[in-house]
Amino acid sequence: MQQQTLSKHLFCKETTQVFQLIPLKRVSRFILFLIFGVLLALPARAADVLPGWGSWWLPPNHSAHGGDIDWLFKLIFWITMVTFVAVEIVLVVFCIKYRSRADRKKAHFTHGNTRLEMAWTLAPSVILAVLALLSKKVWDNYRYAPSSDDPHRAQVLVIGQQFKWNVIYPGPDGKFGRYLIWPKPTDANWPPGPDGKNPMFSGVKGPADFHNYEKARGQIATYIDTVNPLGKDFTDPDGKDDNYQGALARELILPAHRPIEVQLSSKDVIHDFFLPNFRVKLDAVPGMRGHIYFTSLITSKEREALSKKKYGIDELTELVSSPSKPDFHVIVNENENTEGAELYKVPHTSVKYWRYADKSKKTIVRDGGSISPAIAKQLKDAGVKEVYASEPGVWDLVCEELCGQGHGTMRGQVTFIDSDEYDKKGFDAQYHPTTKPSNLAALGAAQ
Amino acid sequence: MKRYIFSTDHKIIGIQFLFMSLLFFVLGGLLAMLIRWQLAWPSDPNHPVPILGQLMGWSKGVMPPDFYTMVFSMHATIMIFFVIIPLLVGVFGNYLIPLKIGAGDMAFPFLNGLAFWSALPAGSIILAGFFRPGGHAAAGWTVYPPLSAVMQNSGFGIAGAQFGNVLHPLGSTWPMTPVIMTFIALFMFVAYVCAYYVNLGNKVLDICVSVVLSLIGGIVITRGVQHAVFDGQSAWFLSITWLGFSSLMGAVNYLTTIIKLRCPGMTMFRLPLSIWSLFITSLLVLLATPVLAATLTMNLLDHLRLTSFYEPFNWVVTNVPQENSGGGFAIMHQHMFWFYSHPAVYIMILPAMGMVSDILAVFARKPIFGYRPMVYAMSGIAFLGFIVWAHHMFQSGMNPTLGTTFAVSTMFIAVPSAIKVFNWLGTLWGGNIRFEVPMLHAIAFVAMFTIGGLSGIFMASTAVDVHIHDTYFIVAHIHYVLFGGSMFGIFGAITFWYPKMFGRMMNNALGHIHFWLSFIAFNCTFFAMHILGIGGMPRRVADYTSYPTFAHFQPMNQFISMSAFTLGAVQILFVINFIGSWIWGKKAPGNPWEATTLEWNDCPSPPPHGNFAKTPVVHHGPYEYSSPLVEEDWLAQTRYVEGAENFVVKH
Repeated sequence: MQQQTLSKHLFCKETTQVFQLIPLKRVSRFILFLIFGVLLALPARAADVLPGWGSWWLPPNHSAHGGDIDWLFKLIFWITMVTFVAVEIVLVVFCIKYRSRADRKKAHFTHGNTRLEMAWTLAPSVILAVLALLSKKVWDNYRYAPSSDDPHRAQVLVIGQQFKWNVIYPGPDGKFGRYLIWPKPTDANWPPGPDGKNPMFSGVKGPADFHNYEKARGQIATYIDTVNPLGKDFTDPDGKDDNYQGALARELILPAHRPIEVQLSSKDVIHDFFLPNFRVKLDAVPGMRGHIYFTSLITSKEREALSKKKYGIDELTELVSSPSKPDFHVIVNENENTEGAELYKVPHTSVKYWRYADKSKKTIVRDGGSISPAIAKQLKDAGVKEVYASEPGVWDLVCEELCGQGHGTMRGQVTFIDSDEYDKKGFDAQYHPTTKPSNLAALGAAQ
Repeated sequence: MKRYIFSTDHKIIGIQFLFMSLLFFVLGGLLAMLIRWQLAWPSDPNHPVPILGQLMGWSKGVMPPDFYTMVFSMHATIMIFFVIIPLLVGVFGNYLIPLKIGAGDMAFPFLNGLAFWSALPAGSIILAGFFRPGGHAAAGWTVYPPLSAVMQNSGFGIAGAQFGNVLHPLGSTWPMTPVIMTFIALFMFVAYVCAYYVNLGNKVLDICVSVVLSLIGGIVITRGVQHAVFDGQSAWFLSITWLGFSSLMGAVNYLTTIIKLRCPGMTMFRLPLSIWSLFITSLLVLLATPVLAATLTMNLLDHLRLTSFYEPFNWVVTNVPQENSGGGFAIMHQHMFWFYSHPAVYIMILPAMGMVSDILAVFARKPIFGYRPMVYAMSGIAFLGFIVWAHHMFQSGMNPTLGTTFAVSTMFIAVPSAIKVFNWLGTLWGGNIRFEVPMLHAIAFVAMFTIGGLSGIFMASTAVDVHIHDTYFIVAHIHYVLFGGSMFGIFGAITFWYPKMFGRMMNNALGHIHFWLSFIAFNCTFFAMHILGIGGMPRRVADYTSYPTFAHFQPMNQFISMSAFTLGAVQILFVINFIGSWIWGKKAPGNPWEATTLEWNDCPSPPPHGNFAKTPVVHHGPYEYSSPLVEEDWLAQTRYVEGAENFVVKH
């Protein structure tokens, strides 16, 4: 019964009329209002949620080859932009000019024009061929970099793992040992340790002694976890002097102004080594060793110095509270002694550092500390009016290939230090530059 | 029964495909909304996910990152394999080919029905994946091994498994909803075969035997599926491989039909461009899909830990040495996958190009500008489409010189695309354009495809790809091609052929509102993504704000999300219009658009079984609009006019 009434309503004449008679002419003004409403309301709403729209262009480039990539990007950008605007304008003009009108009964009858077809086939072909050649040049210069056989290049082996980056340096001999070699459940002995002897682990000489496949696998996992997380082959003489201690998930430290070779591999799944500010990207594939070359034009200290600026406290508060949450580090030392800062001596020790303190002599922030909105507020309460601050001298290392559920957290950090300082750390074979690399002023001019 | 459900009529099958893919479109769209919610407020407890957050029992309603991974993987999978490809190839391939070439039905009507009834189990298996305790596949739609070989996501998790547990018999390891769903799909699959092959001479006996056979078949295959599908990822592999068979059946059928069943006078160069595009697409499907089937079978075996086609020697996951590792090569999968999936990109755009060409000619009241160059351009795209696959892999660690090779071929595939755009502009030039709803969608297709094509040039350049690979630039590009291109083409096609399919006119006003709002919201959503990509924002990352380099993109992402929600909401208008017009729409005349092709002129709306009362005879090309030889501004393909056969006017 109910269904009958429903279908009666569904199929009755009135409903049909209502549906059919949504009049276009009368509705059109309403549509226009709706469209403009949406057009205006959306950005307004988004802008209202949080102020600030971020950067709309390429992130700053700090590598030697990156300039060429950016140049090619801009070239393609302008070529496509001109084409895009031209095509859309022509489309709109045609739509307006050739709209159906009462006085025109027929369209222009034509099946095409061979010459025109030839022209618009050849023109894009030529442009695209040129682009292909140009990108070959830039690409080869990046992947087959001239510095790839430079004996003084700094080498580093980066091994991806869910969800962290492991970093190994080759040590004074400049050669890596073998890595990523794991015991198998059928092995009679555990692999030899640093002393050259096969160790005992979990009470047995080797995984085969468990006589149980599943148990052997479990114990191998524990062995890898606790003894040899990167599968280093300790018998390999090249690997004896590798800088391997603390390789797990450590910050990547590299020299600036000097060719760098990054070797890439992975323990488990495919990761991707992406440095957005250096235009470097390559997959880290298990079972493969990738090589990528680049040169940084800037050290972390230089970046800090370049971005150092004096900020009024209100300006700074606004900046750090904005959605983009830029990271700022406070700079206080004897050179930039701003009002309210002090050199603090830790009682009973020789430790001292520059700091800002509140009225009860508690530290708000030290030299080099980062500023959050809360800290900015405390500084203001403490009466500080101006602060020297800089961007931090680290860059993001992004995993750009989906690598599992923790993919988004697989963030690394890169610091670039001076080449001499890098040598002192003994990461690598010594580097003796014949000419001093570009200085800060030159870099500032280049920017 | 045989007439409407187990029909072998190409029109019914086309409409069945239409409903299946539109339902999946709703699901894929909802998944997209989830993605946008997460990206607007990444893991922000102040903005818990509405409804789902509570339903899933997430702490503070915040979407966990593994769930996000699952959501975007499935959004892409469903949209590509279950929406765009079935809509273009399944729906319009089925519906249009016989009607436009003057055939009564497909060359193999039974095979055609089988294509639909085997697509349905594939769909139910992909849905079943959501209810597996481990959650659905979360390795992206590109399923790169070794990630896809390991089971590690917790996705929907236990909550999802409970969702599906409406009827839970003792001892079943599966929640019942997916089992019942899969069983019904498989029952229908077997029943369809039985309906045509069980012929014992007695109708009652036939039906009984068919039902019994279907029950047995359904149960046996469902049990098999339950064994193979032990987690979401294996459901994914099985479902897509299965769907590949459906595609192949369709492709064989279309090719044979177009080659063998054209009516008298319908030469290859008198075919409408939509038929040409479906012909070329079918060739692509036929040549590429077996490769996908091989790839995914190997992937499934790897996932089941029976083989190691793609896993290298010395491979551990969370420090556990993996069984059957060794001898494989991870990049091999990428080569094989993209050998299918790059042609698949053209499978997803060529039919839309063809149908848009038809629509543009009809409403510009002009012949297509350069019909033959259009055909050659499509063939060129199809050929080049097979030799550009590795441009997805420039940064994958393959040989850089190989990258250059593929960069060159990729650059040149832009040439035929450019020819097509210029020819569409040439078609509009000097026209007498009527702005009906299908025409608006078709023009939007041209405008949006231009953007999608031009942004492709950035990626084609190996060097520029270094910066934008796997960023939101790629996401913007693919959505301009697949939504701005294919989806607008599909909206145009649905609104254009709706009168023919259902015998009713769609509501004009609703159509206009839907188009304009979609168009604007679409551009607000996806154009801004180019800017994110230029800034380097990585795709597939649940919380980009954890990277200081990208944290400043949050307002932009919120803008995009607002626009995306609008875009999603506007589609409700389309649903209202679609269903409403079916019930209340004006009765459609045979040829409401004054078009020239066979389906409008030689059969009523909707066409009866068998399509044409008598076999039509074609006298000239498909786009004779505004011909000076006749009084009206259109000359039907079957109407004989002295001297019209080879009447070609070159400007």
